[in-house]
Amino acid sequence: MDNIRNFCIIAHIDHGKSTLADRILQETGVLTEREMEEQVLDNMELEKERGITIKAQSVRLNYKADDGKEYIFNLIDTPGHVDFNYEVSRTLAACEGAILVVDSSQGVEAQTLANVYQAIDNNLEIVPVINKIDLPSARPDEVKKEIEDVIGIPCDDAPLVSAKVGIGIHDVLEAIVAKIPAPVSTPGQPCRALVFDSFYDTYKGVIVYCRVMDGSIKKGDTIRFMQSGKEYLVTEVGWFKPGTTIQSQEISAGEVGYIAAAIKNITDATVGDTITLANNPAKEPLPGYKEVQSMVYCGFYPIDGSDYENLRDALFKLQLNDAALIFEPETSQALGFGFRCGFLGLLHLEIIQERISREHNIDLITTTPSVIYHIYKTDGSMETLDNPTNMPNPTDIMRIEEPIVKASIMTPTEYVGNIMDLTTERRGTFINMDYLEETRVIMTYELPLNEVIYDFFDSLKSRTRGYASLNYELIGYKPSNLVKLDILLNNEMIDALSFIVHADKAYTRGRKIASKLKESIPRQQFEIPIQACIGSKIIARETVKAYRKDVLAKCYGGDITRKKKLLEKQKEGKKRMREFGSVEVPQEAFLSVLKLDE
Amino acid sequence: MKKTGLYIHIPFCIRKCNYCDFVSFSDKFDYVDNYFSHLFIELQYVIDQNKEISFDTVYIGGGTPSSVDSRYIKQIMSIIKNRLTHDCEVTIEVNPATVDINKLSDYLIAGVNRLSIGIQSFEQDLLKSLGRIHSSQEAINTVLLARKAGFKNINIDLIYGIPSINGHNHQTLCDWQHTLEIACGLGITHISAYSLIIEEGTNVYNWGCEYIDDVLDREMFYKCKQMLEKYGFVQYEISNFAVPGYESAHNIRYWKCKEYVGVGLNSASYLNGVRYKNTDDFHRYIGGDYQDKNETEILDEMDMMNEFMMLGFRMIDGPCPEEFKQRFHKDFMDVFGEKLLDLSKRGLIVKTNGRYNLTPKGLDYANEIFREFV
Repeated sequence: MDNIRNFCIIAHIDHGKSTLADRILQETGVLTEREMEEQVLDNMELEKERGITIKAQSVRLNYKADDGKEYIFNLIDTPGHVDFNYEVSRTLAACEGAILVVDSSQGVEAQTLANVYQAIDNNLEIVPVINKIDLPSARPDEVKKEIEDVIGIPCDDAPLVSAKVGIGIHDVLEAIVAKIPAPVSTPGQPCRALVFDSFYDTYKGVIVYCRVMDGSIKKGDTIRFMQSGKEYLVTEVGWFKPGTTIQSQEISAGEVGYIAAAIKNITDATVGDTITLANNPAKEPLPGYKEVQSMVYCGFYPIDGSDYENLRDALFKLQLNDAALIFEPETSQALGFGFRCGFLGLLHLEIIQERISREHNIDLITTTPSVIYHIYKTDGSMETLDNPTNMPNPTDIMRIEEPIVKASIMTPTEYVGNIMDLTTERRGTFINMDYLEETRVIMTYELPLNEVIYDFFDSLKSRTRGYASLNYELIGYKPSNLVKLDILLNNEMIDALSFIVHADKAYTRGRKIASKLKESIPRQQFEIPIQACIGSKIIARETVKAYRKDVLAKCYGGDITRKKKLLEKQKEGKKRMREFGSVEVPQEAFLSVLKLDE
Repeated sequence: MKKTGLYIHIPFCIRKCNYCDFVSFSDKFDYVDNYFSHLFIELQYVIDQNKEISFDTVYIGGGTPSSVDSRYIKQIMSIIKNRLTHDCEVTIEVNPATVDINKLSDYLIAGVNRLSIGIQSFEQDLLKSLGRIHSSQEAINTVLLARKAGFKNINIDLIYGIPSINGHNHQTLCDWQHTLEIACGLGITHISAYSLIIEEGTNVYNWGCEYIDDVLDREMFYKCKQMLEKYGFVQYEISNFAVPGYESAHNIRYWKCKEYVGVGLNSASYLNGVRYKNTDDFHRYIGGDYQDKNETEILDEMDMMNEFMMLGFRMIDGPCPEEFKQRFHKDFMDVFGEKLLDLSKRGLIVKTNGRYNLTPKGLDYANEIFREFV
């Protein structure tokens, strides 16, 4: 066990985490040159395309160190985006150490801090690595000092690395051997293994990723999940190679590996549960993780109503790999049958939506995202509300409270003004501002979550030319003057477009949405009024003019096939629209109202 | 003997018009002889292979068939002469500034009895913006010449809804009215009036021209219908008007889903429930490889019934229930009753004398109806 090192890589998004992981794989020879491609650990097409890591991935490596000994590394790659902090937290519990990658031109960023503090809370040994030293703008010495000042980790011998070019990778590997402690366990204890991830395999059932803390597990053992109490016969154990699994005899204390046990139901093997052996069970489970809380809710509706069952299957399959996704059936007057889904944030929402359309080929309509409001009613009761449609009658409401987050924004000082403008627009309350160094500050705000979820991050990036970074955490609820804004198309209310907004911003939002809808709803055979209203009061109005003509003027020459194809194409286009009364609304219209700032 | 139609494609033009997306070339006149030698081979083959067929309509289109020497046309006619019915309608497309009285007389003597003249507009500036090679006066002269040569059945093509192209002004209602007035005074029997479609790949498309306001486009259509009706033309198809008795038999064949054989580059055939198409690759064609096998479409009964309805609704009288019954041994109300009732409810079609046909609203939104049948 002395030669095992379990570690993860933590970093702010884009600081080069996945590239460093690639290099480590290459250096330890786990992949041949031919197998090597960029972002090896990011399997999902979406991950490669967006250049981000969504799912944590683990891999086992062998490394012959300078001291002549063979070491086994278990590397777990983690996501960097704030929405996926949750994935990071569960990874940490499986490791003894974390490589902290810091971009030598950007320095410490908001998520660097958030991730480091999480790692420290989990008693992880932090190995700082200064990356991207090949960049002309690199300032490794300053960044080292910044890490020491801001985080308080000594950085004297932090490896200076360029993962992209391949400089200093060997130093990183040696630092892992030297600094990260080997796992410890108490011999003779009953088996305990922590489930830190799982995914669904069509042939083998749920594959459980776990870190064995005490004892060992082998094929043929009967395991018990301590929380669910379910027992299963182990059919396979092993460890990971990029993109595949390698079977082994057993996995034992200190090791990271997987277990397959023909588990059909993912809820029997939840992340955070402890696995023990049925014939010699442990007394106490390992400490689990915090339960994930969905921050953002919205409705998913198939454009084609007959896809409802497929959508249910798709969500179920995605949930197998993504415990943070929750959903339950709901109905909308406008959209029919669909699902109310809960997400970690807007990026999470977008990714799920994209995966449903790509991997499951279902066209979706997404309703306006909402946070969870607390509605205090005049009869003294309190309701939680995640769907604006269910908002009680205004006369029954005493007050509404909305979720508030504490947001930390790190930025070069020159953008402080821009950020103040942005946070003021978003109803933020300034808490304080600290200098990290002469030209960089960390600003702390209290912001209503519903102002953060839409496009706060995008706006922040665009107003700071990408230099600012953001992290936020929920701190509680505060009363607020909120109203429900409804959208009427052709005088019919479209419940799916209703949302809750601060009274002061209702007019602006209403007008923006009306004009966005006007752009994205194609002209039809009649005029379509678009109205935004609060209660019965109309606060904005636009009109989509009627079109007057839709006719193929010319059809002769016998080439009827071509004309038919044209008509078929038009028909396909229409299928992607949803009919409300007699108005056809394309999917894009729903999406466009979500991104008002573009 | 089975009666069908014959289409012959001649892909040469003096100049490619800015809105044109037909398969035609202005730079291949060196290959004219070569092309026709293959066209004759293909035509002879079709005739030999289909001994049971006679043609009651022939349409020589393009391109600009009149841009090549009339001996080629004469030879086409001599190849098919024995297979034409006695009342066969034989049309050739010609363009102003490519014909003289001799050429026209040659056509007539060879057996051509209908001319379709591509005029498009009588406004000088619009002709320029469309990229036509002729002037307004030349267009008028060509029509008069055709009548003088002895043609009794003459169509002209006109275009409305012309957008602003390359800095030229777009067409106005006034322009259009003027063009129609001239057209009506020429003593012709048929007018095709097309609302311009900006097709991908054309100059107009590549230059990024935008459609004129669709309200104006519709006004032009109503104006056209109103004026032509005053002069004795009857609208019998969405874009076609004729003095009664002079409707284009060949085009009606398409709209009634009857069979036809196509010969020449990019031509389509429809025989025994299968639609074939020739290659649109000029050099492949003159290399002796005529058909594009990838384009073959086998229609099942449902396809055929759908096409019957879709194309039938292009005609003002609508699809004919008796013909439907005769061809498919079914009542079209049994097959399409629900759709037809729905379209009626939406005010797009109406039942008159046992037939469904387009309402005035249906004429504006005909694609709504067509889409129901694809």
